[in-house]
Amino acid sequence: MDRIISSFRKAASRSVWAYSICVIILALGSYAIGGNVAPKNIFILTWMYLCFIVINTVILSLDGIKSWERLPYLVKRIVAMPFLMGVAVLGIMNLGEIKSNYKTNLAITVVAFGVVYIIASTIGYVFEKKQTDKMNDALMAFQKEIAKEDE
Amino acid sequence: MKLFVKEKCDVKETEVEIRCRIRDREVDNLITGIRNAANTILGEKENGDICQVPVVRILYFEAVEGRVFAYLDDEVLKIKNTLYEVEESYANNHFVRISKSAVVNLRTVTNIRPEVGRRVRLELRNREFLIVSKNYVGCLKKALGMKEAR
Repeated sequence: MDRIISSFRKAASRSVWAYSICVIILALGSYAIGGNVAPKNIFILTWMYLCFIVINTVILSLDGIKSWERLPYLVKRIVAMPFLMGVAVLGIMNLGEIKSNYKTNLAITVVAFGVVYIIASTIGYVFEKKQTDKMNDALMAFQKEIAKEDE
Repeated sequence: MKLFVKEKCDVKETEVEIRCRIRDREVDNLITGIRNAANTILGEKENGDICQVPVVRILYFEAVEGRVFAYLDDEVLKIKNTLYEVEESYANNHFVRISKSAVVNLRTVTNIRPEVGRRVRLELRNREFLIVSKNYVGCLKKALGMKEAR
C-alpha cells in the first residue's frame, strides 16, 4: 500500500506540471485564434491527465517486482506505450473534434504518437547510456585502484 | 614467526607491518587473516546460527520491514546494525548508499546500466541487480570519484 501511495505521489507530481503547461498552451491557442477555451476541452485534458496519473502510478508500483525490474530500459518504455497512446489518442481526437476522415486521422495520430514516443524514448536512452558509460569507466578505474590498494 | 605489538599514543589508526624474507603462502594467509579480523560483521543465519563474515564478502545490505540483511554470494544474514550505521561504518570499505533501503559494496558491482526515471541499475558479480534511486545517483558518482554530490 505504501508503495502505491508513494507511486501515486510521484506520478501526480510529474503530471501536474505537464497539465498546467497544456492548459496554458490551450488558452494561448484559443486566444490566438480569437476564441474562448471550451469547457469541454478542459474536461478532456483533465480526464487525460487523470488517466496518465493512474497509468504512471501502476507503472511505478511495478518497480518492486523483480521480473519487471529485470526488463531492459526500452522494453519497459514500450510496454507502457499502448496505455499512454490509448489515452493520448482518444483525448486528441476529441479535443480536435475531428469528424471527417476519422479513420485516417486516427491512424495518423496513432502513428505520430508512436513515432514521437519511440524517438523520445530512444533519445532518452542514448543520453542515459552516455552517463552510465562514463560511470562504468569511473567504476573500472575505481576498482583498479582498489585492487592496487589491496596489493 | 615472531610477533611484536607496540603501543603508541600518537598513532591514529592501527597499523600492521609484515617483515618477511619472501612473500609466500604463509604471509598471504596472514594478510587475509588480518584483513578479515579487522573488517568483520556479526550476522544471524536463517537457521539462527551466529557467524562472523568479512565485510568484503558482502554484496549489499538491505533494509526490509525494519530489519537489515546482509546479502552474500550464497547466503543472507540478518544483522543488528541499522542501515545508517552500516553506511557510516563501512564507507571506508567502499560501501555506498544507493536508495532509502540499500547500501552496496562497490567492489562487487560489475556493470552500470540506465534505468527508466533517471535512475541507474547496478549489476553485481552474482548476476543480481540493484536499482539506484534518482536521489542517490549523485552519491554513487561521488563515490566513484566522478563529481561532488549535491
